[in-house]
This record gives sequence, structure tokens and C-alpha cells, in this order.
Amino acid sequence: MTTMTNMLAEGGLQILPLDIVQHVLCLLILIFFMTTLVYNPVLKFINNRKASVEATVKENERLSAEVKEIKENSDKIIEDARKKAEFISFEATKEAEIKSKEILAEAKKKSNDIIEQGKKEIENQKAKLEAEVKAQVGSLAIDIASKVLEREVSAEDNQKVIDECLKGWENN
Amino acid sequence: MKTLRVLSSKPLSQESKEKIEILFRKKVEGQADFVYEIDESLIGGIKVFDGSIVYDGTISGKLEQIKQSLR
Repeated sequence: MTTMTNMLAEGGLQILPLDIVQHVLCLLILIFFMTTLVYNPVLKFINNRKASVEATVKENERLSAEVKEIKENSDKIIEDARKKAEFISFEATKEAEIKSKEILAEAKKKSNDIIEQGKKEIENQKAKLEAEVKAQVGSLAIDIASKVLEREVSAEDNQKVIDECLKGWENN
Repeated sequence: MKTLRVLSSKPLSQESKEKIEILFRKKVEGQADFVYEIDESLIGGIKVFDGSIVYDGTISGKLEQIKQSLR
């Protein structure tokens, strides 16, 4: 720069207007081509990229909202299912309790019936046995009485018996 | 004429026989013969067989009735 200023001052370097115009023209052409070939495509590319990123961001937001909604729905479904399962479990437990009480009552009744039947059977057997013993004792007593009477009945007693039975047959 | 069997544990007196014959002739409403037999197992009293009808006035018969009633 200093060299150029010195040369200008000495009259050695001459700047022609045509050179300036040429340079400006070249600059303008350069600017035009730079704008057309570089700046505009790059700008377009950047804008496209920006639009693409914005679209992606929007899509992500939409998907996030969707995921959130799905998660809320699934949480609700899970909660409903849990409540339903609880209810079913409660009902089943209640049902089982009622059933087991019924079964116990039935078993108790059956066992009482069996016991009653057994008692009746015992009473029957007892009565039967008593009757048998009574009959056997009676039979034995009669046999003994027969043996005694065989020895003890006198002719007079015999006559009395005959007279009594003849009287009885006469009246019949 | 009917024949009646009369069983007794001891031989019957004539008086008893007459009573028996009078009574049973009335019952059969006619003539009847009597056959007298001894059976000591009767113990006492008499048993009269009129065909299929049996008149049991024996002590053993009464004891047997008591025995049956106990069953």
C-alpha cells in the first residue's frame, strides 16, 4: 500500500477510468454469478433444510402427543383391567366362602343324619335284643315251670283243671 | 259216627269221662266214640281231637301259649 502511494505520488502508477469500470464490471459479474450459482442455491438449500427440520420437529411433536395419548389410554385400560380383576377376585372369594359354608352345612347335616340313623339303629337293635332276651328268659322260666309242675300237679289239681276247661268249652 | 281222641296226663275218672262225652256229643250233635290216651308230657288237663279241631285244655298247652306271647 505504501509502495503504491509512493508510486502514485511520483506519477509512476496511473489509474485509468477504464480499469475502474472493468474492475467494477468484473465485480458486478462476479457478484451476479456468485449470487446465481452459489448464494441462491445455498440459500435455497438452507431454506429447504430449515423447512425439513421444521417439518421433522412438527412431526416429532405430533408423534409425542400421539404417544402421550396412547400412553394415557393404555394406563386407563390397565387401571380398568386392574379394577376389574380386583372385583372378579373379590366376587370369586365371596362365592367360594358361600359355597364352602354351604358344603360345610350339608356335610354337617349329613353327618347328623348318619348319627341319628345310627342311634335309631342302636335303639332298634337294643329293643330287638331286649325282646329276644325277654323271650328266652320267659321260655326258660316256662320250661322250668313245666318241670316243676310235672312233679307237683296232684290228681286233685288235675281234676280241677279238667273241670275248669270243660266249663269253659261248655260256654263257648 | 265220629271218633274223638281224648288225651290226658293221667287216667281219667269215670265221672270226668262222662262229663267229656256229654259235652262233646252236644257239640258234634250226634253219636260219637271216644278214645282215651295217656300223654304225660301234657302235665295236667285234657286235649280233645275232633277231626281237625283241637280243644286244648292242658297245662302244657297253656304254658306254650304263655311262651308264644313272650316272643
